[in-house]
Amino acid sequence: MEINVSGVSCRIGEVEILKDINFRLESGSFTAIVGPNGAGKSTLVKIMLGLLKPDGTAAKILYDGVEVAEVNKNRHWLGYVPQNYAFDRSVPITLDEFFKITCRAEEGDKYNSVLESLKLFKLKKHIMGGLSGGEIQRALIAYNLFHDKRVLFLDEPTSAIDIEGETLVYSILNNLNKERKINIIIISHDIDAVLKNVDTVVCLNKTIHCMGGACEILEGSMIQKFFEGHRGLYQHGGCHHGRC
Amino acid sequence: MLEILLMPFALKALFVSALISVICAWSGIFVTIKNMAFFSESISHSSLAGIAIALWLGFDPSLFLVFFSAAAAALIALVAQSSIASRDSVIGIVHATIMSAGIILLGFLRGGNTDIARYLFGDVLAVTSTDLYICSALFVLAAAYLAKFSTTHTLTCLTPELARLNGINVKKYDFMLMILLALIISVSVKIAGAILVTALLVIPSNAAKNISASYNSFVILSIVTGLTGAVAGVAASIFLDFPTGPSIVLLNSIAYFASLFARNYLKISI
Repeated sequence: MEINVSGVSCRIGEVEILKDINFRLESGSFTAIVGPNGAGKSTLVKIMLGLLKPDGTAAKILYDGVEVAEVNKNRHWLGYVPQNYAFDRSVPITLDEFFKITCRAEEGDKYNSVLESLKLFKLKKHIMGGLSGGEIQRALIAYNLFHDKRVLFLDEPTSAIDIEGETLVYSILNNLNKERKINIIIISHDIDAVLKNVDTVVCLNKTIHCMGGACEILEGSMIQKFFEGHRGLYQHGGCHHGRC
Repeated sequence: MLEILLMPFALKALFVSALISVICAWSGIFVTIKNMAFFSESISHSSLAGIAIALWLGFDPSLFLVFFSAAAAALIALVAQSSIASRDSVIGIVHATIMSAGIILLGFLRGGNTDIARYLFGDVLAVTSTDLYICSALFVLAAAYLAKFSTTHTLTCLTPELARLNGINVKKYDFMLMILLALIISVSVKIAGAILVTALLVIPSNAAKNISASYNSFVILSIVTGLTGAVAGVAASIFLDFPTGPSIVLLNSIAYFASLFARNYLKISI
């Protein structure tokens, strides 16, 4: 699904959050939006999801040429996995019940195959409050898959999980991107992990500083300038990008 | 001795308590998930102002209270939507405003009317036929609403962000829940009294939460706890001549502490 973002600006009170954002993402792309804290990444994603309105009337968010408001009205195929899934862990709800209540998912081949693919099948009778951060992340990805989402946004998908969990989440996302042709858009601070997996990088700090292929961005001088003072964020050592 | 429970006044009290406790325990699930205890407390306390206005105007307090509580909930929702203050602050402000007006009105009524005390502490043994009809109508309405929309409310209470993304109007459902709770509270005041009515919403669901191993158990145990507390409370009140509302609440509290013990020391989960 081709995504076009044009003329997006956003102010909250006197504070400018985003200024004239314009970019286009190819159909089936795996994109990372990177930038320091306060760069406007989460705001941009919320605007792209139609959860937040940008300033003015010139802003346009188009999915295959259709406005986001129209997309949300008719077909809810924009998926979202929030950074900190705020839910009361003391609520006694099993994973199985969560999917059946929230997605009206029905037991069957598709249900079982989604759970199997996300390594959640054995956990389906477990209380959600007892699941680890990585398991919750995978459950939220599954939640979106039951709804047949075609674009999936993830805000810091690996921030609360260990290396093993991170590898699993990225391998699941890569599969969804390649096999189901789902556009994946992630927000991340971990440039090293991101560059190993994504094909497009958008460097954002209120406005777009640079954008392009992962290798092009990593090897160019733009990202060094962009992350000046934040070198630890990306210097885990060289380019490990699988697609370079 | 048991024949006393078959007398019309006792049957009426048992019937009304059972209806109210079931609906309170069921909707109390959402009060617990969404942390709406303060909202419930405010509506129940504000009902005293509603009773004062009804008595002052010469209306039947039971019926007037239904409309008054719904209006108070709508006022809280509207002010919360147009204010930058947190929801709890808005509830506190609206609650204080209504209560102050109610206290001033109560001053005018001083010296005669005992209805206020009945609403303050509850008196299910004195339910009238009107109360019975109002309770039954509310039960049918609320049960039908919860049966149809409890799944949507579970989603909007548990995870509003995801609900919004699925095209659900979360604000509308939050508003509907507030109105539903206000209606339930307005009728329940007659049983437990304005001071204790929140207990019927909060205690059974929290007792159930302590020992539930699934959402289904959570809902069923909450209703069973509420219903048992109500029936046993009315019976205890008749046999032991205790005030009914506090008896029901006290039995619910015992269930809560027993479930807490069962969870922490016996590791029971159902």
